[in-house]
Amino acid sequence: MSIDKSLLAGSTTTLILKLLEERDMYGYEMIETLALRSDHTFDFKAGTLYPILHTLEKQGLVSSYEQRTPQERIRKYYHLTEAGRERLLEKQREWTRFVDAVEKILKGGSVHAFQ
Amino acid sequence: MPSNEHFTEYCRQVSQQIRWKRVRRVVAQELEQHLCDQQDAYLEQGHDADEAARMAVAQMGDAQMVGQALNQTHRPQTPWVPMFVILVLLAVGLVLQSVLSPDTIRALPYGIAAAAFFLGYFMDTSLLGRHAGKVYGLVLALSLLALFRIRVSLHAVMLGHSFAVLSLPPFNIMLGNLALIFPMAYGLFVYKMRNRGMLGIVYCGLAYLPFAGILLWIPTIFGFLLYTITSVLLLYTAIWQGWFQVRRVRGLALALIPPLMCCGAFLVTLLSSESLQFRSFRIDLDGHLHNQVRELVAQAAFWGQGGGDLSGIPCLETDYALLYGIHRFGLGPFLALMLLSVGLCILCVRRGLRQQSMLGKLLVQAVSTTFVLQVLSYGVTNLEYGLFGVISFPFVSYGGTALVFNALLMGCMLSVFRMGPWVRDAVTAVQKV
Repeated sequence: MSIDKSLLAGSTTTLILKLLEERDMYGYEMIETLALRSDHTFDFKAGTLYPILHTLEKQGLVSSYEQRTPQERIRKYYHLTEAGRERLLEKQREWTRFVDAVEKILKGGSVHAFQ
Repeated sequence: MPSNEHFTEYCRQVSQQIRWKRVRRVVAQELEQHLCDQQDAYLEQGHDADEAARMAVAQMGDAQMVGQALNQTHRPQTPWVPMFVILVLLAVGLVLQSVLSPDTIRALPYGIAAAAFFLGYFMDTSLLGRHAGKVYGLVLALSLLALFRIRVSLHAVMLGHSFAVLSLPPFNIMLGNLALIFPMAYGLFVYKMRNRGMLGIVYCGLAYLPFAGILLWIPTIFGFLLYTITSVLLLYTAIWQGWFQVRRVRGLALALIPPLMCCGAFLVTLLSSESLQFRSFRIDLDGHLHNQVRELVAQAAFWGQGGGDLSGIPCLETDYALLYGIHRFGLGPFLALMLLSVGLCILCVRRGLRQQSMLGKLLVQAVSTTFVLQVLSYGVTNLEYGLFGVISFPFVSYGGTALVFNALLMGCMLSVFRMGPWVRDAVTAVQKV
């Protein structure tokens, strides 16, 4: 089942920051990890990921460094900065509030605004 | 079409959408690496190389759309505030010099300084990083060449200074101002030696010596101190940040040996040579200059012309431009100018600390420390608390050489600010910024 893009748009940053909280990763690794953990619910195209990553780097939420692979290629890794950690915490709290609120509505209830 | 050509063509199409040409290569490199990783995954699934390459490209998304999205992100970050402050300092300098000595104002040094600024500003900073050793060598070679051709200004010797001047008509280059360039060249050498452990620190110590020797030979004591303080701070930063991957205490101790040796050798020579004492320090034998400056400052108004006599003050345009400004325009404008300059210093230092790359950090630190020390020493000297002389108040005091050097340095530093996170360190080994 594909997810509405509008739902995804607000969450992508949080997902990326969360991955980087665990360890430094490169772009391809992030896409594969997200797909695997979400049972392919999140199947990002690389063309979507990199503009977001570069924006996060420009904002100082992540930093990057380059490392030589055994195949003598140069791979760019991303690292979560302190500012990125704070933003992630903020986003997680926001998400929890949002999910709680949506759940309450979806479960229905006896409270109504105009009774 | 071989897989690499698929990738190269795709990355070319993407990067063409990015208007800022400086980052195209870096972005293309990253995308190409991603394509290789994706292709490897498809190869493992049993696809042939060509098919795997085509699938990898398809997985990336439409090249034009991806490029346009990246173009939105990648814009040069013009450092308006520091540029504005520099323009204000230049304007203040022009006003001061036009009132102080209108006959000496020439367009040529300002034209050359503007060219030097834009050369530094639009230069690809990563070039400096890639050729760090060569830049250091070039600066050293040109300095040694200049020393072979100098003549000593006798007039300046009488005033307690020794100005080594390289005469290249129509220019006279004050070699003491080399102290402004040496820290950046040394910082690049430190950058080159990173990741080389204790041996790298030893090489940095050896690299410190030629420039120190040149400055002591001239001699320009303030120049030597400026260079020594800046170079020690640069090396300490590199060691502290772990760029040499050595134990900090050992590294810091080792780094201190060459500067201490130089200072010790100089002091020993100084104590045994009266003429060197005379040439090295701003010796005011009968205290007349000291008293005159104090009197001028004491009689200054907060706004407008103050009392006192300027006639006995030597090198007014070069060394005492601020004192003239205090006398002519008041202490208020002087304080405003100092606040503005100190504000610029703080801004530059803060932005330097935020630099992600080692190259960016070292370049900004070299230039900002040089700027800070010039500003502080000049302000202190013009209030007659200085001892070691001055080089210049950047962009304000008279002096074509200092103007051009400061313009070039500022241009390089603002180029680093402009590039933002796109100042890249060359890959040597595993390194985290």
